[in-house]
This record gives sequence, C-alpha cells and structure tokens, in this order.
Amino acid sequence: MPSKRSVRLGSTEIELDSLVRDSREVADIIADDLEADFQEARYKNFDQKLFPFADAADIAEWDGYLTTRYSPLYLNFDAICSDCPMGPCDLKNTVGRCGLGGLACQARLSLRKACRGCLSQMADTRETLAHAAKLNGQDAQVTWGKHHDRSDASHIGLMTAMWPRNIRDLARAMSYAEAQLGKLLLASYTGYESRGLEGMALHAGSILMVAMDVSELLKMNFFGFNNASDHEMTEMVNWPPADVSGGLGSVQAGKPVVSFIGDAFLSAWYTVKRLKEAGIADKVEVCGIGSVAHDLVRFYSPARVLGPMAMASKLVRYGISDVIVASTGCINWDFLSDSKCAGTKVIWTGAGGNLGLPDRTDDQSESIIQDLLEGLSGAWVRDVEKAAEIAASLSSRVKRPGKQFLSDEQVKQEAEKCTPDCDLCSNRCPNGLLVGQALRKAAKEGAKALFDIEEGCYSCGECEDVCPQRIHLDDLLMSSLAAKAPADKLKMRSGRGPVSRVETTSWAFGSIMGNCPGIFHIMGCGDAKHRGDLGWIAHELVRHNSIVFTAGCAAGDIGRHYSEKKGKYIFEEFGSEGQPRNIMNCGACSGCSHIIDQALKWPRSGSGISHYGNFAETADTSHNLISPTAIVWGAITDRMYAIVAAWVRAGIPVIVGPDSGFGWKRAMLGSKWRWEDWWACSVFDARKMFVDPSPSAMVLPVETKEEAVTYGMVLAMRAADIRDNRQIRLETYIEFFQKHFGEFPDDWHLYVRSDWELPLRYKSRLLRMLREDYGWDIDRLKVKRAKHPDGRLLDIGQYGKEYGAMAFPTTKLPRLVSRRRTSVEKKEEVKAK
Amino acid sequence: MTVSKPEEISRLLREKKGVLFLAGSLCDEMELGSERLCDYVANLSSRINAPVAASGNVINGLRERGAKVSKKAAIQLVEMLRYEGWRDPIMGARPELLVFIGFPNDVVRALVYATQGADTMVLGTGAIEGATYCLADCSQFQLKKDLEKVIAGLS
Repeated sequence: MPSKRSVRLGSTEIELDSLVRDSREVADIIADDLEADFQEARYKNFDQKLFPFADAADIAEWDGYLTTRYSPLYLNFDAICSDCPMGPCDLKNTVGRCGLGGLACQARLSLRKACRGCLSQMADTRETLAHAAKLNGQDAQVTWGKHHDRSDASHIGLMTAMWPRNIRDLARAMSYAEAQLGKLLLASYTGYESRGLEGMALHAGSILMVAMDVSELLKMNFFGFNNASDHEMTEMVNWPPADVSGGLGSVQAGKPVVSFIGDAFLSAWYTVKRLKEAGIADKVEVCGIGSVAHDLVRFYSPARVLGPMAMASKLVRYGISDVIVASTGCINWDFLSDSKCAGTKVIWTGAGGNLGLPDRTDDQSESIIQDLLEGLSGAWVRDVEKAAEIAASLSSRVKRPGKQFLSDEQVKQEAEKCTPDCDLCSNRCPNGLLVGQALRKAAKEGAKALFDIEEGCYSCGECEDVCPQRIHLDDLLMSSLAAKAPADKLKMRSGRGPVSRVETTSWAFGSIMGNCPGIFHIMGCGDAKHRGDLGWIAHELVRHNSIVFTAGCAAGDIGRHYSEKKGKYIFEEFGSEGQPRNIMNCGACSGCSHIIDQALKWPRSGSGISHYGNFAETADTSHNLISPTAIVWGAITDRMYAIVAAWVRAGIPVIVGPDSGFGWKRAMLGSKWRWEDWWACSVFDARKMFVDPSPSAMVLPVETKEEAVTYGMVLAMRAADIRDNRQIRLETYIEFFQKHFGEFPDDWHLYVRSDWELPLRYKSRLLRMLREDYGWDIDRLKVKRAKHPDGRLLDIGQYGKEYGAMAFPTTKLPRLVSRRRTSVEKKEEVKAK
Repeated sequence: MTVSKPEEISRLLREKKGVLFLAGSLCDEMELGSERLCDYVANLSSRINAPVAASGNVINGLRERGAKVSKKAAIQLVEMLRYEGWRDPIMGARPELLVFIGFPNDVVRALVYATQGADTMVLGTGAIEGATYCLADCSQFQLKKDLEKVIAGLS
C-alpha cells in the first residue's frame, strides 16, 4: 500500500512534506503521529517542523541557544591533540597544523566523553534486544503500560517520531541510536567549531536516552520488570512497597552469596529463574552492585542492593561473595585481582572485552564448574543462560576461605608508620580526602578514625602507591569497612518504571499553584565523600514538599537514610506517588529515561505540543515553563556526563558535585548579574522581554550537599513562574540559605517581580531590604516603584511589563513565534483599513 | 606557574590591589595543629582587609572568626571573570588577584584553569599548574608553617 502524502486534521489538509524535510520512508510514521497526537491549531499558528530520526544538526537551533546562553566554561585543558596524522600539536597558544583551535579541541574531548558515556549502556541494550528477539520474535508486541497513551513523551518518540509497537520498532530505534553514535564519534575527530561540537555532546545524551527507553521497554515487556503504568494510580502511594533490603549488613551469614556487577541483567534474570526452578532461591543470597542491582530488585525483591558502582572494587575485596557474575558497566577495572584476593570465583559474561580469562563459552557447564572448584579463578562465558546455570550451581559448592581483616590494634600499629610531614596520600587522592590527617588519628583511635575517608574512597589505590612508608592503606580502609559492615543497611522501593502523563498531570496543581517548591531529579554514581549525602539531600527536599525522582545507584544510597526519630528509612517515611512530599524510584541506570521522559510531558499537557520528532519545541517549552532541577551527586562516570547532557538538552538545569563535578570537562553557566543577557521572546509578537536570570546555570558544580539543595532551589525558578509558584520557591531558597549559611542570598531580589511574590514570613524584612539596600520605593507593605536592573526606578505595573515573563508564553526559538496576529495588531489593521 | 616562598606570597598580598579570597570546603576540615585552616583564612584576609568568598559551608566558621565574608559558589565568581567589568556585589571592582585556599587539588586546578583576566594564587598543599602563584607541594605540617610565615610577613 502506498504511503500517505497528507493527513486531514480538522479542516486542514496537512502535506507531510510541509512538515518534514524528506518524508520518504517515514511517511507512515509521520501520518500516524499526526492522526494520533497532533493539533490542527498548532500547525496553523506555528512554523512546525518535525525531525524523524533526527541528526544533531536538526536540533542545532535549540542546542545553539543552550551553548550560547550557558556558554561552556572549561575546567581543564588538554593542550596536546593527536587526532590526525599531522599531529601531535600543542594547542596551548596556537592552532594546530590542521587549523584546530584549543577551544574546539576541548569541545571535541567533551563530545568524546559523552560518546564514551553512551557505549556500555548501548552495547547492553543491543544484547538485550537480540536476546528478546531470539526468545520472542521480531513481531512480539511492546507497550509502555495500560496508562500510557500516544500523548506520553519518550525519547524514542522525540528523536525518531516512532511510537514503538513491537521488537522490530525497537530494533529500528536502536539502529538509529547506534548510527547517530557513529556520526558523533566521527565529529569528535573532524569537527572544528566548539559550540557545534558541544551541541553534539548534548545530542549524545539524547541518543543515550533512546537506548535507555529501548532497554526499559524490553525489560518490562519480556523480563517481568515492575511497570507502574500497569498499576492503578491509587496504588502508587505505596507501590512498589519499600521491601528491598540492602547494604553489607543485610546479607545473611551462612548462606551462599552470588553477586552481579555491571549493566547486564540477563545473567541475573536466568540465575534467579534457575534458583526458583530448583526450589533453592531462599537458600541463596542474590546480590547486586551497581546498575544491575537495581534491575534485579525489579523482578526479584529478595535480592540485595550492596552498593553503587563506585564502591564495587571495595565490595569485591571485602569478600562477601562466593561467586561474582559480571559484565561491562559504567566503571570498569581489573576486578579479577580483587576477586582473587577474596577467593571469589568470577564468571565474566561481557561481550565487549574480557579480563584475560579463558573463553569457555562452548565448554560443558559441569566441566567449567569443576575447573573453578579446583582452583581456576574465573571463566569467560558469553552465553548468559550457561553463565546462570554455572552461577546457580557453583554458589553452594564453593568453599571460600574467610576474609581476615586487621584488628583495631593492628590498624593502630600500621597507621603509626605515618609521618606527620608528608601527606602525599592526601595530595594525590582524586576525591580530595584528607587521608594523612585521618591516618594520624587512626594511630591513636583505631579503625573508627578512618570511617569518614573510607566512605569517600573508591579504591583507586593512588594513596598506597605514593606512600613512602609503604603503609597498607587498602588493608586499613578494608578494616574500617568491615567494622561498619554490620550496620550498613538500606531499605528502598524497587524501581517503579515509567510515570504516565495522567499521573504527571495529577500533581500539576500542587506543583504550579500550591506549595511545592520544585521537582527534583536525584542521580549519582556513589563517589560523594560522604555516603549519607544523597539520603540527606533527598530527605531535605522531600520534607520541604518537593516531588523527588531518583534512579540508578543514587536510589540505593538514598535508601540508607534512616530517621531515628521516626524509626523509618526514607522510602518508608514518604509515599511514592506523583505528588509533592513523595519520592519515586524509577529503576536502574536505564530507568533514568523514565524520569526525563515524564519531565518532557508537560508541553503536551500544558500547551498541546506533540513531541514526536519535535525535540526542540518540546524542550524549549519545558525549559521556559516548568522544567525541574537535577542534582547529580557523585558524578564520576562518563555515563553520567552523557546523562547530564541529556538533561541539559531537555532544558533541565543540573547541579553536579561534590569534587567529581569539578573534574568534568566543563560547566555551563550564565552570569546572573548581567541582566542584559537574560531575555525571552514573546510567542505572540517576537518582542524581546528581559527576564529574571532563571535558571542561571545549566551545569553548576558545587562542593557540599547544603549548596546542592540551596542552589538547586534557585535553579528551580523559571521566568514564567506564576506568583504563587515563585513565592514558595523564593521562600524555600531563602530558608535554605539562612539555615545553611546564616545569611540572605545576595541575589534574591533579582527574582522579585511583584510584592505578591514576597514570602509572608519574610515580607516586612524583605521590603525593608528592598528599600534600604536596593533603592526600591516602598509604601508600608506595598512596592510602589521597583528598580529595574538597568537602574531605572519604575512604577510596579510598568516594572512587571519590563522585567519578567510571569505566566507568559515565551520561546528561545524565533521559528516558534505565533503566526496568529495579536488583538492589538488586528485593531491596528482595522484602523489602517 | 611560579612556586613562591611564603615571604614572596606576603609581598604579593601586600602589594596587589583588589585581592579576593576564595575559601573552599577544606577550610572546615583541614586541621593544622590545634587550629583549622579557617583560622588562617580569617587571619590572612583581615590583615589585608580583603573580602572572602566562602564556597561550601565554610561561611559559618569564617563568620565566627570575624572574617569579612559572603557566601558564594566559587564557580559563579570565576564565571563572572569571563566578562569585562565586574558586577558581583562582593567587591566594587574586578579583582586583580584571586587567592584560592581550602580546595582539594583537583577542584582548585579546575577553578584556576577556568579563571580568566585575573591572577591566581593557591595556598594549599599542592603546587597547582596553571596558577600564577602557589606554594610548593607540601604536607599539612609544612603548610601550617608556611601560612604562619605569610601571616608574619603581613604584620
């Protein structure tokens, strides 16, 4: 059947070629989108362009805005470029032989870092896709769940314009993502223009989200993962239940322990299946480290989440596991040596590289098991079903010697070797830990003096390498970990999966007109200096009535937060529905896509904007009106760099920290004091409107958790905030600032557009400050005249017109100014006639 | 990068106009004998009457010690230096010298690299490549001695 060339919407016949550059091969997709989700009025009033299977260049108009307004601020400079045969060239003070400048070189490296961040997730998604197709066939149906409909945004829809119906569609989306990654990698060696390259780095983030969407759909449809969209909204307040335990202290002594590490969940899925079939599931502790842990608990809640990927090396050497089944993940290291010292057997399933283990994929399972029992430290088994068979059988047969840790006296003796005038360890620590200072205390107090630095240590071994006294720092830190292990516990909800537009819309009133200060997305890799930071951040935000989402390793660390007063862990203390004062865990790393997808549903709900092949308009609208704030705490991996790129591209500002946030290639900020930089375009008449600097940054590195929540709150403001919304955000921002830093922020007045926005509890003080410190004209409890940032004192009514865009539709994309004439223009036309 | 002796650091602090201290999170954590790094920051800044921009949570400790301090995110001040002129209320004119103290080495390296149009000085245990002036790689024990010499040079 020939493809459609046009579609009728209401009274308008829409030619597909008027919407897309080349409709061949995508005509059916676009026609389907138009009929299912498009609005005639938007087609008539705006210059609509759709970009199915979008290239980076198709979204460059939006990326250009982001990289100009929030111009990348590079935080390190790699001067030597070896990208071509004419090099290496030193770009410190000159351009290279090929003409590449230093700035463009940094942008290339930023793009490369984002691409690297996509690799392991995309490789894993491809493996899962192939496996699902093998089991179910290409025509097997997929669905987001019964509460999802065509108006629910997803990155598959945003980037490809497809609404996936079966595995074949997912394969097409994945092929698109892989092809894009190839193009981006090519650009990272051939591009010459820094802003364009940074735009492509953002594109890499969007591509990663497509792969995560594909991964999640496969997991939910074919492997029994939780899917909130298949449950009634009335269940959500306590669904999934907070019944997942974790931490080293939760593992039952005496039971065999099988642990999974990395991204690939398939081996875990088959292992659990085998254990259940053999009727021995309750006799084996099944644990996970990193992303796979959070996948595991979505289909098997008795599994234990041991810790984030940044802790993986330590957790392997701690020696709790009898068998480890591992694959590539967001952090890779030679953990074979770690597992050997713990006597743990390793089954490596990763297809994308091995650890120097023999490839035993085609050998008989029993022969591999025998070899492992007789002393072989590990085997490479690329067949996940076989790997699962071996793991399930091996776990109860391994006789592992118990791990010995230093006693407190031994810790003191070892620490006594430290000399006071050295501190090479502290100077070399990539996480900024004062190792030497802690060691000197440990010489007197024992292992407990090392508790703090153990939390921030991710076992890179730098400190031990540089120690002139050859102190066995690693042994000391492991003793500290062992001392704390019995108390290391967490409780959490397993990942819920997606959030439907219906549920998203249900909190609209609370988040826009009520007393919810913001929506926050909390993620991280577990390398923050203090393990309790993430839980504290989440608790501080939720108890202040925010809506909080989390996913990945951050969810486990948040689950460690325990309220002594209430006797509850954080996931037990708060509900899990889409409402203020609730916290939702969306799943493993790939579950991050659910968080960003729900954030991009608002343009459809609020402005009728269909998202299919329509990234720029969706992100622009979301960014201007209601996008949330993300906090990435512990941001060490390249994958997190790509994830943050996706968030920035969606118009969502991101706080990164603590130390690893400064180790990134770049920050993205604007200067809040340069008022002339902050403008928006009226969608009605293209008028340039000067607005408050909100959000003032898109990637903001900070040092402490208190800074994270406080600056997170100011980044939650949007120029279009209505006054109720602005009032609660301003109030919480000031409250956090006062509580944590003991003073008012220096920029609060920049966010005041009317006296209605002044929080009641601070109102008289703020009015006095406006008069005395900022030169505003105040009459009792009213602002008569306000000081525009350009220095003019304006009547408050005029001020509102010249500063801010309260509840006003604006755009950053000139293409999206309405074709419709305003009533004023219409009157003028009538007059002229 | 010029690795400077404490006496040279004192001279620079005395002579430079528009000195702005940026104090990082280690000011609260780093113990130098019986004192904390915070004590030295407060002492140093008050001797040359320079404002302190407190990053992390160090504002509370610095305020207690009487420093002329405001809460800032370090990166936002560095970002302001990308433009001509100066508008941040922490000081009336563009600073000529940013003194970084109390930041982990990797953090201060990033901040120093990103700073444009002003000299940078790092007072810490690491000699930071890219800083205009800094102390040599040293222990906390040595840093204490160096800072005491710098303070003595400002008396």
